[in-house]
Amino acid sequence: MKQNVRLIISGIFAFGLTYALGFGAQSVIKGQFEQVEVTRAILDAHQALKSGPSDKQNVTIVKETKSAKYHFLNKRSYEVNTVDSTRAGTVLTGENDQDKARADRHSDARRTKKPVVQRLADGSVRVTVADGMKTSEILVNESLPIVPFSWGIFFTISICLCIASVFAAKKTPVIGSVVLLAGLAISTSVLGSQYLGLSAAEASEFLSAGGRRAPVVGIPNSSFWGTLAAIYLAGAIALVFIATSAFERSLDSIQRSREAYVAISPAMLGLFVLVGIPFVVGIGLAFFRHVHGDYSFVGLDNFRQILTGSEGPHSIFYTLVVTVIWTFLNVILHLSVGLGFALLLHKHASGWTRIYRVILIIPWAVPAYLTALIWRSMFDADIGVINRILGLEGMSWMHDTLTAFCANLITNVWLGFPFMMVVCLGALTSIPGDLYDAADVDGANGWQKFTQITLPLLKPALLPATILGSIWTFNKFEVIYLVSEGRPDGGTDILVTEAYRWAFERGLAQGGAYGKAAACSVIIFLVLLIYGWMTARVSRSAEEALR
Amino acid sequence: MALSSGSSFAATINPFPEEFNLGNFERVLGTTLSDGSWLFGQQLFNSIIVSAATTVVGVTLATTAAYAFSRFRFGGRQMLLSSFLITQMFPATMVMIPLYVILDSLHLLDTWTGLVLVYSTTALPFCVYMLKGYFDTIPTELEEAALLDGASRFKIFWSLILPLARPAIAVTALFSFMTAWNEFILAATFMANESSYTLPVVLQGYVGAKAVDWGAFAAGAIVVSIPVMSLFFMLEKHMVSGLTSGSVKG
Repeated sequence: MKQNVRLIISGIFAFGLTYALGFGAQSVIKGQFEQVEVTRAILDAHQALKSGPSDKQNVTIVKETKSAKYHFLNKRSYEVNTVDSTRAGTVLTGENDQDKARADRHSDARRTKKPVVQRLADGSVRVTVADGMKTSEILVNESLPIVPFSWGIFFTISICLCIASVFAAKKTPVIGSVVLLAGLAISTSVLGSQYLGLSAAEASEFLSAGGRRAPVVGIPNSSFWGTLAAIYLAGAIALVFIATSAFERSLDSIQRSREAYVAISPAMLGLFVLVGIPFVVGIGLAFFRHVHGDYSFVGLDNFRQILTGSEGPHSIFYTLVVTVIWTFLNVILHLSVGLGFALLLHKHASGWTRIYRVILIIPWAVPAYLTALIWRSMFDADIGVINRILGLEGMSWMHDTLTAFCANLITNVWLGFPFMMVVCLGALTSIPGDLYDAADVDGANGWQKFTQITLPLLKPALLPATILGSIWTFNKFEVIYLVSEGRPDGGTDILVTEAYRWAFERGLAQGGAYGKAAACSVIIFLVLLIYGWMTARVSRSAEEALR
Repeated sequence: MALSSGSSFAATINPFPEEFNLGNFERVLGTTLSDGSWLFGQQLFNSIIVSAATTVVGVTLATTAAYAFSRFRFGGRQMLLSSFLITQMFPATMVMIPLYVILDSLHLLDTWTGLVLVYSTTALPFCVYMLKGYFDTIPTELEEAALLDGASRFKIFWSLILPLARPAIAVTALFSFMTAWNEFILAATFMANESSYTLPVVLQGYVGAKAVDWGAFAAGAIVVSIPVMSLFFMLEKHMVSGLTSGSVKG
């Protein structure tokens, strides 16, 4: 019985894997298809240019062709010729907005010598191309079948995988492989014909009818093959995994640690759905471009744009440096101030100490944004308290990068030292007093006691807190955004405020450059990952040293 | 401590207000909806419910998970532990949009459930990390003896471990409560109308784009901070020993 259960599980596993991959592949392919449509329209426009009339003046021709057989030939084309030299290079004045827009597109195409592509709301594509002074425009309003990947394909592959894995797990891999290959062959041919939108016979007819080059759609591009290859590879891996004993061993260990998995499953489920999925989506988003709800795959383009370009006078490397310095200084100050207060409050356990401890917790208890706002107004040039105290009325803190940075620093230290203080307090209470007595007997002074006893024994407690604290500081959005708002000119921005600006302040024309914001976040994540990896080695060696 | 009460935002150094008037407090506490029902009360209730539920759910999930991590050795344990740390590294502002979409598809927007779930999972990594450290310091001999006597794992967990771990659980509870009570961005994004806002969102409303209603803001800030500070005062003893024992041993 157990054996059958395992077979069923392995089959479901293979099925699920393919299904999940297919889901992802769909959106990738869809993006590619839209790209293909545009390319096709450009080719058509160039064709119209070559075959159209060349000596009419300021004429707009509307040509309409309809084909019942080849649906992708349906189009309406406008042709605007400007041979008149007095008009050359100037915008045609049209009578209405549509004419003006058309004239703009045409002059743009002429000027930049690149096709002007627009995707309209109803899904059609409008392309304007120029060749010297002649321009032509094509509106393709019959789109290709959008999602050629039918679920039938994936059912085919998945069922084949399941059957194959069952046989492979039963140690007859030959039959398993045959079934798998058959399934893959069937699905490839079905897939291919859907992609082309034509059967092989129709495609060759079209070629000879128009005498033109075959449409680009007939040549699946590299990402199509890449996606397909990935799916097959995943299936093959699943098959091998199932056929070997690795899967059986995993099932065994799950069986043994059943209790543990039950205990952690609610937490892990919540974590997976509400933290893991947004995490993965956030990373994936970095590879897409967002325009008003449409997401198109752009690969590493977002990263390239962020790393090479710059909005405002500072590049992203400057911001990275600012972030690192910010984190470093903050953590040092948090530690010093926190440790200082902890040492002061540690010795005397009187009632006053309790009250002091609670008072010093206040910065941590009050919500961060409240604190940031209050400090922001305290730093205000005219009515701010700080300037009043220092007698510097009228001096704006936010006009110089250094002072603005200091303002942020002061605010964040006020916010963050209680956490360190509490950790230090606790760690201090765990150091046995005998050590200090022994040191007194040996004649050590205060400083020696501090450096030789206190600090080394505090290290294990402080390390996790420091690591966590530095990660939190690195991503401390509220303080920077609310206190200095990145003034002057983005000089005090850190990476996370940059990301926010990409999403909600820049790129408003496209409805928010979420892709670039996500790319910025990925950069943040990578930096912190490297940092985490380095500190993990440090903390592990520190633990060893203590033992 | 520039939380001077009552009057308009004074640029004075003196933290005590010149004229002590409770007018601002009245304004903040007495906001009403158009139908006369007590709006502030509703929002206060929202905050209390959400924070309390987060505390309960968060503590439950964290203690069970931390116990499992501490006592059992199972496949993927190390990986999951480091994943807790890794999830902290991704900026919270960026997961907001995917979270919104996920909650929307689960029809949990503008509900207490959605907010509680999100807050619990946000607070989880820190709580599990800390609780696991604390559980690690509890010697296993007690449990082994109990197992020999025939007690089930659950009974051990409930009657033996939990009472021993009270300080750390106090910290976890406080941290979860604070996360939910003070949290602003997610509440503002996921909650749709005034009567479902939590208190931090209300406070934010007093900070307009052009003019800041400082009096109401300061009064509101004090009101919002009081529960947390009183919890701190009550749990202060537990908290200090709780945080330390977890961290010292790793």
